[in-house]
Amino acid sequence: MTLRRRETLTGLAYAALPLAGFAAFFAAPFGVMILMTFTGGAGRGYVGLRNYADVLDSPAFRMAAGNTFRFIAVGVPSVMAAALLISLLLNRGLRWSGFFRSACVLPLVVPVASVPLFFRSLFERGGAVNHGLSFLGLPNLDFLRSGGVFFVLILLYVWKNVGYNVILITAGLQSIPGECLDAARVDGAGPWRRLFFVTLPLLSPTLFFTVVISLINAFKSFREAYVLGGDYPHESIYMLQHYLNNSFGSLSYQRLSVAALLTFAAVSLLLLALFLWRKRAGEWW
Amino acid sequence: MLALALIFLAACGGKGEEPSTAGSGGTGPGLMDSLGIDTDKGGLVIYIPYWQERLLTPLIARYKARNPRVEVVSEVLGGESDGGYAWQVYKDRVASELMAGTGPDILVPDGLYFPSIYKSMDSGLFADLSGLFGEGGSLDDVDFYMSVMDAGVYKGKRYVIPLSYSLPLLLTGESLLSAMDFDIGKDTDFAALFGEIDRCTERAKTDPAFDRMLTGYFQDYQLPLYAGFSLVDFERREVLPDEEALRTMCEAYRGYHGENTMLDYSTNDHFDLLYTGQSLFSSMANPDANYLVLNVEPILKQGDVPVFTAVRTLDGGLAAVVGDALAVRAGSPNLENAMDFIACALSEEVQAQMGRPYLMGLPVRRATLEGWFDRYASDIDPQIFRDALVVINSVDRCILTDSISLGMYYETMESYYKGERSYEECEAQLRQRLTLYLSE
Repeated sequence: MTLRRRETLTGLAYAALPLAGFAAFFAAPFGVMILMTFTGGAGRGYVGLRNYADVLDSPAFRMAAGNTFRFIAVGVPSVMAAALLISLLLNRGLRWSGFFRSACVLPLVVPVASVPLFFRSLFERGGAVNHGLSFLGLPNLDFLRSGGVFFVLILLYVWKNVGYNVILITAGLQSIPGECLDAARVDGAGPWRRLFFVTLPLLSPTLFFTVVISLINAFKSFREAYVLGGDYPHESIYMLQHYLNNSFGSLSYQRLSVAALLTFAAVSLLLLALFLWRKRAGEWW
Repeated sequence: MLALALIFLAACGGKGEEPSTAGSGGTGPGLMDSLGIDTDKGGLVIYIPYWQERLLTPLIARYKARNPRVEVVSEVLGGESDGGYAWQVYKDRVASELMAGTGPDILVPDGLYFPSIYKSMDSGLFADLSGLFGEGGSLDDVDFYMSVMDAGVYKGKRYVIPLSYSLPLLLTGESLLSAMDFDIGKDTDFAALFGEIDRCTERAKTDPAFDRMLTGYFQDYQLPLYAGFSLVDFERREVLPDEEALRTMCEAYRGYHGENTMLDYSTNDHFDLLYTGQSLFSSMANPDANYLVLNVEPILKQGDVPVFTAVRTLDGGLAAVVGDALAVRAGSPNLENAMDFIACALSEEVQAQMGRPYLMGLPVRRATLEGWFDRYASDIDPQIFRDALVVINSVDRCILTDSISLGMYYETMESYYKGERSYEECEAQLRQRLTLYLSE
């Protein structure tokens, strides 16, 4: 047996257990889920693509998909911009930066269900925000039962997740060699030129990774919307996860499976597109 | 690759099997096979929710006595140790088995276990039991209150078979009503009832006699059903089909809701009478739904004359709500046995053997109700029963409980009842939520 073959077999032997776990707890259920998308309820047998037609035809599913993509389109750039700004400020070595760095991370350790409850109390009709508006002589707004709840959710999402992105981006910033920035300074580059032509290009791998993680987290963002609005919230925050959760609750397993599979496909395609774009654009995007 | 696989699978596919009403249906291994039970004689699997044990256990015993060759496998799910979540044990077990394409043959289609009953019917979880009635069936329409039985009919098929029902029938004393100047007459509707209660609320706070009248936790989320309208018409795909009825009822109920909160059961001397009393024609045993229903014996003991008052729907009808019910899992390999079980449960003999303690409400078989009078109230003036029967026979509609939509109504309208938001705002929000629910 050649050394290469022996090494391959040894590697597989070490990986066998985790691979078995992956197969048993992910691949197999995933396969069963795919099969379920082609069957009728209560074990009724093969129904072709009927379940797919039902789901794609469902106004609720289309609304949920639209809302989810809208949430990602607004939320991910917002959290990235906020995280980048905070990281750049913290990286300047300002006074109390250690304290602010810790403060950014605190939302991560707050229990997930508590944060939306807090935001709910802030934006309720009789909440602090409306009290503030009344104080300023402005009319009260029903944030949670109008389209404004979407922006409350965005704010909540950014507040909850910015800390994680700050950690990643700060680590990326600190890995940028100081000599590159010094050289640019010596060559007469101002702060903005250094930012756009030195810092960001060198930070791009970290930024890309952070965008990918943020995208995945945005798709999973359900607990916040659920606590803010319940099973059937205002239509502006009715997301794919609501559709999945409600389908499960009403025992519509076939529709649930189809919706889950379509969500998986959408996320996969999005990430694939990102990776392909990155490959084409090179290291700088 | 995925696209090619999908196209291949679609080409191989076709219409799935529709549940059959005769012979064995279903695909895949049944529970009987996994239990190693010889299904040549036929079998039957029934999971018994803990809270329905009082009904199903004696029914199973009677079925076994009639069908000794059928292997019945039953299991009680949930118990005292699960406390208020005993229902969850049944729901989780059945839901996970239905997901796997298996499950018990007999299902209990209660709002707790199937919160979205109409969607469950749309998902094809229940077998069509139309064959039980009519030509070739073992049950005759004329023997039953078909306006109640038809609650289980959806899109032309009979999926749910009610065994009992409740209706808003008030029973009180003539002198008591007169003494309290509580004017609801022989017939009233929900708007008038709540209006009258509202009128008397101030007096009720100080007059202890009203304890026997205005008791019970009135925050009954099934109010729309008793008031005779559904919040979502799943067949016509319509939300709030009767807006006017909803508005009228909510506006009438608002005054009462504001004044009445949950009873302190520990201090209410009359609670026992309502909850454990031998009320002749009580609605659901749950006091939460006993709209002013009183114990008839104290009325008679005081020499008072019992008065029946139907609380009608806003258009003059009388609505019932299904209590106990049974269904059969679609694809059940023991469909014939399951239908036989239901037919047995509804048979005159078994219904006569079963009594009031087993059912959560009034029996759906006409003869059984008449038998109850002989059995439980033979010393009462038959005219009382005849008066009640006139009302009971006027039931013209019965709706299954869709817990999801009722829960939405309850949550959304709460802020209107408390005076926090206007009716229009709450109605708009309710409509939006129900529309979302319907469109899923």
